[in-house]
Amino acid sequence: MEPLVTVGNLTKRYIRRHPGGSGEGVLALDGVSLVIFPGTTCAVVGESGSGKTSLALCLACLERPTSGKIWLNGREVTLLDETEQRTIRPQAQMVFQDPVSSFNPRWRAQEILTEPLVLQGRFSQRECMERAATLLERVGLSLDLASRTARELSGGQRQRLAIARALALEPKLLILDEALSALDCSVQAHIANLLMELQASLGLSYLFITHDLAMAAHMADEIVVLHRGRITERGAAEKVLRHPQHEITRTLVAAMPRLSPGGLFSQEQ
Amino acid sequence: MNSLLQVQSLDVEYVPHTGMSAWALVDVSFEVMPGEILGILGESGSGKSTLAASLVNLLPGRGKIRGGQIFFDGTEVRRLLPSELQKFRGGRISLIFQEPSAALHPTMRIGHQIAEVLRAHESLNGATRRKRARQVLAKVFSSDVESIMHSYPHELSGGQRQRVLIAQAIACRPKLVVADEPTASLDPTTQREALNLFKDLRERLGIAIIFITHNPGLLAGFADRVLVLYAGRVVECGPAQEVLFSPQHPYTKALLQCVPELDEPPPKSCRTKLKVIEGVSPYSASRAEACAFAPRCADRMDACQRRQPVGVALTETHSVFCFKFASKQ
Repeated sequence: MEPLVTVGNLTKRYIRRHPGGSGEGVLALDGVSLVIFPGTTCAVVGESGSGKTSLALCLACLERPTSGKIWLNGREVTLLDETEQRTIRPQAQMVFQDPVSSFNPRWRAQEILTEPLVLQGRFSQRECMERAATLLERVGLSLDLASRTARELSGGQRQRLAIARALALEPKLLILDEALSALDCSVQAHIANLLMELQASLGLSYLFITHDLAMAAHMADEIVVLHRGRITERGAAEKVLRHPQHEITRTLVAAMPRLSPGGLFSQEQ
Repeated sequence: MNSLLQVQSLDVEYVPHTGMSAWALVDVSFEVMPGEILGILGESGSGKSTLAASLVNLLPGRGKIRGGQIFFDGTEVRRLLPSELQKFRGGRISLIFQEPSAALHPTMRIGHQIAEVLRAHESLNGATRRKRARQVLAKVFSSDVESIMHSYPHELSGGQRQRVLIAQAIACRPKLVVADEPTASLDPTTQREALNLFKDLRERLGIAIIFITHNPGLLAGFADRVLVLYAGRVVECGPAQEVLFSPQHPYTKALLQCVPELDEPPPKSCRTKLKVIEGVSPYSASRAEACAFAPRCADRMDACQRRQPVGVALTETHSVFCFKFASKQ
């Protein structure tokens, strides 16, 4: 099978603009390579500042990498200019941690869902409305929520709406940047199940960025551990967690809160 | 031993300028012993942040305590005058909030911000305040105290900022620290360091801690006792080991089953769906004569829809508010 995403030796350097900043800037990604196959999930774990979000932004064509290559569905996106990238972006959509800050607070769910379709200019108004209704149904939201604003929805409903918006343009890849982290446990489970169902029915690929190793293990085929912009370990999800090879991974696994007797501080007790 | 904090039948209501008023807490009672870590577990809308704020009479906006008593070390908190409350907060009970960057002044050096807390509570001269600020920071940072003193919040990492907030909270040697989701924005490694610090402060300074969270995993091995809130009411309360590893209330049970287990994940082809609780959490409490969890409960009985369950003591320290256990009393 052809990979959907291929990332080769990706580097991203942020230059500090303010006076007094060092000329070298911050190296957020340092030679990252990975492959995501259709219908699979690649989880990216690592501490804050390890480069997870930079990777996400580069894959979503929202940041230009400093060097390296990204192929998405057979096209090398790093070679494309801004206009051409617009035709690629619908294929890789993002879901953020806090959907409220990525929704226009005055818009109703209906408008939030139809905006990507309207921007494409390919659909009639009626088609847009029909598609919005289908999307709501697909993520398990009832149609009467279409007239509510994001603030009038619960945390779980908002995240469903964010997923629906991401699905509007029928992407191949969803980039889930801490998409479950802000949710309550019981809501997390609902959304995780929804993502698994959507993957099975639509053949989506996920780049699942998270702090939560347990959720990564549940969702992912492959886990990639990032540390200071480099990949320190990768492998099948169950393997990486059961037999972590690298010190960084071991620290992450040890730090995870867990609900088994002994618990978080078992070593000390 | 006498309890440090005693909350009896606390009722809190939010009364907006327009629209319907809503109950946030109904009939909440619990105790905290000196030097104890009490974990309060609840999801969004369960009233856990309201509870933290009511303890020091800091309810936002239109929040009103409608009934009940809060005794702290022999003082009835609700009877304190505004000037006494000022001394009380920070001096006897301190609060730590979730977002460390929002709780610090962006253009004031850290040393100054700690000294500010001391100035509000103790009459010391400038030099002594700085010395005390340094000593307090040394309790939460093992090295680099001097450079932290001179830093601005934006120069610190999330974990460091959280430590500064903890330093502020303990600056005036309170007996109780109420921490409302203090680690929610930190990554697991930093989170664990912060929890270790809380535990360490309890050991060294004998401070009692109320740790409010929506993440049950954090409480395992950390809290001594756990109190579970649902829709503004206590549903279960007992020793952490018992509540987290053999939960009795149907809600606690269902909630803990939603969390994926880290150990021994199966290969992807063999994975099953996560267990969920059907329905949604109510966003406010209700005074209606029915169990708030009944509509989602797998063990629902007739009585659940007609009356409010009362606490049943399973053991001396573990109580559950559920009719399932009523016959066992």
